[in-house]
Amino acid sequence: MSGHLTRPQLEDLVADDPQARVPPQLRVHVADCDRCNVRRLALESARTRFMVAQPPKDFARAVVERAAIPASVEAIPSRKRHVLAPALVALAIAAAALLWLRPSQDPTAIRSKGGASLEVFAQHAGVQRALRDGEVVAPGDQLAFAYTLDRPQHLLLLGVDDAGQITRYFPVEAVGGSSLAAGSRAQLPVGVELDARKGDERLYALVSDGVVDELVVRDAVVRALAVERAHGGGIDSMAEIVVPGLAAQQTIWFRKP
Amino acid sequence: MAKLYRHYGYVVFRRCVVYLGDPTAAQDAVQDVFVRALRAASNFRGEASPRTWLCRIADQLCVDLLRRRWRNPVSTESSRDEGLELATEAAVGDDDRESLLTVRHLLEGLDPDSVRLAVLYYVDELTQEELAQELGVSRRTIGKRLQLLLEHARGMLREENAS
Repeated sequence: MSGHLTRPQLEDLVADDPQARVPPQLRVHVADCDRCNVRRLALESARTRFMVAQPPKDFARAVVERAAIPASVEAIPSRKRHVLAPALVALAIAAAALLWLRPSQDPTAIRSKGGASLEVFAQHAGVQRALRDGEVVAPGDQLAFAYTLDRPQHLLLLGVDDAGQITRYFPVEAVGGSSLAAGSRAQLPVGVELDARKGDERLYALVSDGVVDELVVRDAVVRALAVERAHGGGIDSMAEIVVPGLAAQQTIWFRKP
Repeated sequence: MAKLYRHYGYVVFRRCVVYLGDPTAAQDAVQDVFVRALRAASNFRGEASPRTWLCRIADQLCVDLLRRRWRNPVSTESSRDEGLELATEAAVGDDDRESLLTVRHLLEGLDPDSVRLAVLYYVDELTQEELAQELGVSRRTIGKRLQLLLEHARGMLREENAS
């Protein structure tokens, strides 16, 4: 081999993990190279000190305990939001077209037989309208949501902006979990006041019969955005996501120039 | 979990220190990384090495944390805490300490996406081709962003020399 070991190669070597499959020539190089050997010893020493200070047994117990808590009930900081008055949605329902949540593309998913729907409303300068794909909103605009479910289900409502930041809008700890009772055009007990950030944002409304792991959903959203970007697209062209356990989903995007 | 931590806990910790510049925040971040890893364990198919997998989770988490800081910046006084700098210095270990601290110093004031680019380039030593693949952008874009990074570093040096 030509040069010295890179930092990741050295880290793999010191990790001593059979799964890491460190090429034998790296070990040979380190054995013959004073510089790499000194770095290896220093890294091993720092790792040993760290393990003494943070013992694996204690750490693993804490991690396992935390992982047992559903991701959706862990606090994840989010965009400014507040609960809106029910009248906000009620005013516009008559004029709004329903956005039907599409059955999940996941073949293992539980289908939503009667269908589920979500309506998104935006209020700007006191005037409210049903929000449609690609429409423009402004900082300070308020978003509200109404849903229809034919059976009790769980809803996860996330937004992803063009900086790749994901924000959970529902559930919010202050108003309970993700479980919703069956009902027709019930207002979601949370609203969103948009902050000053500019750019595009896409909302994903995900309905499931059981609680889905929010981190799996977030990973799927990140991957979907990365795929779009790799093909020259962005928030506006993102597709639905595939997450095990989803019964239905709907996605809509808006612009904040 | 304990085994994975024994192999890679320090690697993840050191990476988080470079991102966050704060060993205490980095310790919390390490726990978050392994919680995420445990929850997503069924998605790990061994296509990447465990170190690469954990580092990607750490990158995502630290960039999220930096975005929050970016929007709610702390005061200049507290961000240049001497005790914090000493703790950071001690936390990165003895090998390559100087270069890692230089990278850490370079990251001050950068936006979170540029921080990630800098970590992948200077810490992981990825090539421009690998960076383009990892970040899902063209090599030309990578070249431009690295140029901006360099200009940022030069600007910092000029400021330090001036003061």
